[in-house]
Amino acid sequence: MIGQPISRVDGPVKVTGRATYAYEYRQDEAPLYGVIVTATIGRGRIQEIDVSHAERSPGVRAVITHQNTPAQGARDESSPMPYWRARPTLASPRIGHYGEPVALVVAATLEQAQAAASLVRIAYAAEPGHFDFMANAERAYAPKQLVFGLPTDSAVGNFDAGYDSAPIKIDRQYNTPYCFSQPMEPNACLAVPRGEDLVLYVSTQIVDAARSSVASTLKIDPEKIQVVSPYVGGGFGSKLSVHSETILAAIAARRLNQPVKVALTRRQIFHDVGVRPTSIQRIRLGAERDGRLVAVAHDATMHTNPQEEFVETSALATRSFYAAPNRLTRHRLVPLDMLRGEDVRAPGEAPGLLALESAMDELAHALNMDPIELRIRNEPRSRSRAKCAVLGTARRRMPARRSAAVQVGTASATARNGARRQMAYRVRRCCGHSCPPAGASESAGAAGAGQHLHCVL
Amino acid sequence: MKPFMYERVTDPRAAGAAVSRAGAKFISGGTNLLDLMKLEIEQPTHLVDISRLPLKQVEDLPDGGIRIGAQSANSEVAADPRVRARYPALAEALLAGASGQLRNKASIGGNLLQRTRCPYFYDTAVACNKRTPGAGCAALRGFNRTHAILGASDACIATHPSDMAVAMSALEAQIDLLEPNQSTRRVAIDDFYGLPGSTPHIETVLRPGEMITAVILPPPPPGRQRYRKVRDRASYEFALISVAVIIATDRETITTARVAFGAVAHKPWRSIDAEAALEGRPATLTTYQAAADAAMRSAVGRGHNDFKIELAKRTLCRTLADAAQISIGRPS
Repeated sequence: MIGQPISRVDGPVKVTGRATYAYEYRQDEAPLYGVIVTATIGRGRIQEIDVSHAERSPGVRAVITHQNTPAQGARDESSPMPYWRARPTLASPRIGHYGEPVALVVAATLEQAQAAASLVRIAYAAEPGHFDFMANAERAYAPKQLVFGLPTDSAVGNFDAGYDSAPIKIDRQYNTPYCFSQPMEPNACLAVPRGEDLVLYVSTQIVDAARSSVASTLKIDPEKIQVVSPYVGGGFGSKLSVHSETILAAIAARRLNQPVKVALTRRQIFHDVGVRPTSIQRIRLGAERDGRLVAVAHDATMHTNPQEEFVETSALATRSFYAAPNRLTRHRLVPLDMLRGEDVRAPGEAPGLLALESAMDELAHALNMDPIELRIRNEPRSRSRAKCAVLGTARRRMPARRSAAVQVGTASATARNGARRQMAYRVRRCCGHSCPPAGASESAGAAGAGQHLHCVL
Repeated sequence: MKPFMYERVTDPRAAGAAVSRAGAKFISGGTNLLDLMKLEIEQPTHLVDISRLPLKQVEDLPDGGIRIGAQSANSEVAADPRVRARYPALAEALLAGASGQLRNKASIGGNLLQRTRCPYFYDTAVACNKRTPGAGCAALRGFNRTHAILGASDACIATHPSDMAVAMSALEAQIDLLEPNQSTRRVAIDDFYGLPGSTPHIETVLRPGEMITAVILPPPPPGRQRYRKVRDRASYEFALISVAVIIATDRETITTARVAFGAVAHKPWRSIDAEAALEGRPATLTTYQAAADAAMRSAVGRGHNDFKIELAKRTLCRTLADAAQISIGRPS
C-alpha cells in the first residue's frame, strides 16, 4: 500500500452526508438534550446558583451544577499522557477561566434545554486575575518537564561563548497568537446507559483515551464503558482528549438512566476546548561568514492555565534540527487565568519551526546567501552528532532541498531577497522544513511522512 | 432563541402595517438577524418577511444613475454589468464582503441595516449600551482592537461593519424609504446613519415601521474608483480598515476626489477633509499623505486599536495611488 494513491475509505460517506457522527446517533429510546451553561467571569467563584426557574421550565429533566455532581476522580498530573487523565467537570465553584462550564441543563428537546439554560441565575465573586500575556511575561517560570517526560531545557556545548565569538549574529523575537481547533463536527457525545454499562458515542481521536478519561472521572470500571467513534469530523488535536461534553453527557445519562446527548456550540469550542498557547519565541543564531552555525538558542515562552499546566514543545525541534556545536533550548510558562493549552495541529512544530526557520531566512538574508544553501551547509552529518534520537526522525531532507532549489531557482543570481517586486508585493524568498511531531516513530520519518520542504515566493 | 411568529408580505404597502405591532421586525435575507436571535441579542416576537417583495430590480434612471431595489441580493448587484462598468467601487466592496453563500442570501437593504460585530455587543453577559441603553460599554477598556477611531463616544466605540455602505457613501447614494402611512422620503446615505453620542442604540434615522425600498446611485462622478479592504484574513472577515476612493486627474493634477472609510466609525465615514486636501493638488505621495493626515486629524485610539490610525493613512495612500495609477513605492 505504501506509495500507492488510495482514496480515503470514509471520504464518499462523509461528503455525501451518510456518515453518522456522534451527535446524530439515534437509539430506540429518544435521547434527552443537554445544554452547557458557561462562566461569564475570568476568575473567581460561584457565590450562588439559582436553578429554580430553569428546573420549572418546560421539558427540563435535570439541572446539574457543582452542587449536585457525583464525586469525581482527580486529574492525575503524574500520568505523562494528558489525554487519558480524568477531567472533573462541574466539580467545584471555582472559576479558572472565562467560558468554563458551570451547569448542564437537560431537557426533552434541544430548544427546551436552551431556553432553560438562559434561566440559570448565577452570582459570582469575581477575583482579579492575569489575562494579558505580554504584560505578565516576567512572571514566567520553568516547568518541571515537557510532555513524554522530556527535559524542559537542553544545552549542548556553550551557547554564550559560541554566540559571542560568531561574526554574524541574528537575534529575533517571534510572537505567535492563540490558535484554536475548530473542526466541522463540534465536540459531541451521546451517552447511553445500559444497566451498569455506559455506551458513549463520542467524537474522539483516541478511543482508548476517551474510555480511560471517562472511567477515571466517573470512578467506574473501564470495562463497563464502550466507546463508539467510527467517524471524526475533524479534530486537529481538539479530540485527543474528551471535554465537558462527554463527561457531562455521561454524568447526566447515569443520573437520569436515559440517553443524553451534548454538543459544544461553536462558541463553546473557543471557550472550553484547549488552545494553542500564545507565545514569545526568541531565536539567536551565531554563524560564520560561510553560513555554518556556531550557536543556536531557542527560548520559547508561552501562557499556561495555572490549574492545568500545558507546555507546547516549541523549542524541541531546535535541539536537533541544525548542526551547531553550541545549542540551547528552553521552555518557560506564564501563568494566566485563560483557557488551558492543549495540542493543536502540529503541536510544538508549527510555532517552533516558524520561529527557527524565519530566523534562518533572516540569516540567509544577512549573509546574502541562498536560503536553501544555508540549510544544506548546516545539515547534521550524523544522527549522533545532532542527537536526533529524541526526535527519532530519519533525515531525508537533502534530496528534497536540492530539487526544490532547482525548481524555485533560489540559487540564481537574480534572487536577492527583496530585489524583485511582483504585483505590488516585494518578493522575498523563504523556506522552511517540517518534521514529524516529537515521539513520532522512526518508520514514519523514514517513509518520508511529514517531512516537507516548503518554499514560499 | 425565543419563539416568534412569522409572516410573509407580498405587497410593499402592507409591510408597514404588518410590522407596526409590538415586538415586530422586518426580516430579509436574515444573514445577520437570525444569528442575533439565536444569541438572544435581538428578540423579536413577530417577523415580517419582506424578501419576496417586488423590489429586486436594478433599473437605469434618466439622469444616468441607477436604482437598486432593496431586496436585490448582494451577489446580483455585484454581478450587474451596469454596476460593474459604472460603479466598480460598489461591485468591489460587495465582493469583499462575507462569503458567496451569504452574498446570495443577503439583501441590499439588509446590508445597510446590519448591526455591529463588536464582540461585546455579541456577549450578553457584559455591558453594552447598544443592547441595553445606559448599561455601559465593555469595549472601552476591553479588547478594542477592531473598534472605532473616529466619531466615537464614551458610550460606544462600535463600528459599522458594511463594506457596501462605504462605497455607497463615496458614490453619494440616496436611500428611498416607505412609511407605514405610504408616504415616501429620500435620505442621503451620510444622513441615514448617526454617530453614537449618548444613544448608540439609535443607529439610523429610520422611523418605526419605515422600510428601505431602494438605493439610488446618482450618475458616477468622473475618475477611477477603487475599494480596498484590509483585514486579518484574506476572505470571510470584516475590515480592520477599508477605503473607497474616486479620483479624477487632469495631467498630473487631481481635479475631483471622493474618499470614504469603513471600519473606522459608527457609520461609513465620508472624509470631506481628505477630499479638500486632494482636489487641485498634484497626484503625488506628498498630497496623499496630506489627505491621509487630514482624514485622521480627529482620530482617537482606544489602546488596542491605535494602529488603525496609521493603517487608515497608509491604506488611503495606497488606494489613491492605485486609483490614480501612479506608483508611489512603499508609503512611509
